[in-house]
Amino acid sequence: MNELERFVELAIKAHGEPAPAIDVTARVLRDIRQAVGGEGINPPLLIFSGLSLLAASIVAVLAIQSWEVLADPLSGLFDSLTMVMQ
Amino acid sequence: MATSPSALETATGSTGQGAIAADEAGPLDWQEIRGSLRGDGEAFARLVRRYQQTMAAYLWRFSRDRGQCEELVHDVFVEAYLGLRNFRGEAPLLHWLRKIATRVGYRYWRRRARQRAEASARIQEWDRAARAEADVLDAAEAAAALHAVLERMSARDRLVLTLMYLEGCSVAEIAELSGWSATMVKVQAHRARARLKKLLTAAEETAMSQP
Repeated sequence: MNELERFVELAIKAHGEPAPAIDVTARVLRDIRQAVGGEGINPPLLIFSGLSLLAASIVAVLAIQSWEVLADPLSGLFDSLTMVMQ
Repeated sequence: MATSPSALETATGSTGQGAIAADEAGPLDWQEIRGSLRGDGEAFARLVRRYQQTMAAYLWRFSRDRGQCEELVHDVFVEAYLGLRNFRGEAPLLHWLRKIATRVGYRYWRRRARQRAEASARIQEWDRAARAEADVLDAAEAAAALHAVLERMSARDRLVLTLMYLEGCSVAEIAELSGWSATMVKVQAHRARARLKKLLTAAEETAMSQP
């Protein structure tokens, strides 16, 4: 009998090997509870979101102020001509 | 499990309605799956108790250390829970669990690959088993001898040889469990057998050259 044949013979014999009795139920449930229930507010993400909102607010305020003082872009040209003609 | 349904649904997706066919999953499994997806921890606990010993017997092929085997079984069920919404019910739940277990076990072997002993080193368990009469050895001794040989092989070789010879899987079954094509399984098996023969021959020569 060569080595491979011996290997196969032992493998057939090993088919019936029982495994030790185990119980992982409690640990699985505990770890799942932590994995699923542990998802909450992410502080770094919250801080970054707050800073982005603040920056966007500042830009919005400046934009509104700029809009309010916005004049006709060609009015400056006509003002100069009017002055000359006068 | 004190998990709110919304948190559970976030983790596992929708309630799973329509994703699982009752006639494929088996009525009892199907009940537990639906319960688990609704956030019923006891339903998933029943699934774990139903299949954990079967998973242990399978993962015992991947590690003969009791603590490590328990760890692998634990990992299988955690992965199963987190991916439960992906279970389509096209095959029995046990088949799906075995695929996860194969992946978990294979990953474990790959992590341990660095610790593999030199191939030419004497394999004492194999020496004893190779010389003993077939009926003298019990199943555990036979398995220990094979394990001592297989842990000297690459994860890929070990997987195909374990599934083919220790689990008695067909090429099609190995392909399904491993995610490989049937052609790849055949090629891998051929190469693994050649490397196994070389390993056993080298071990035999080492044994003969030593007292």
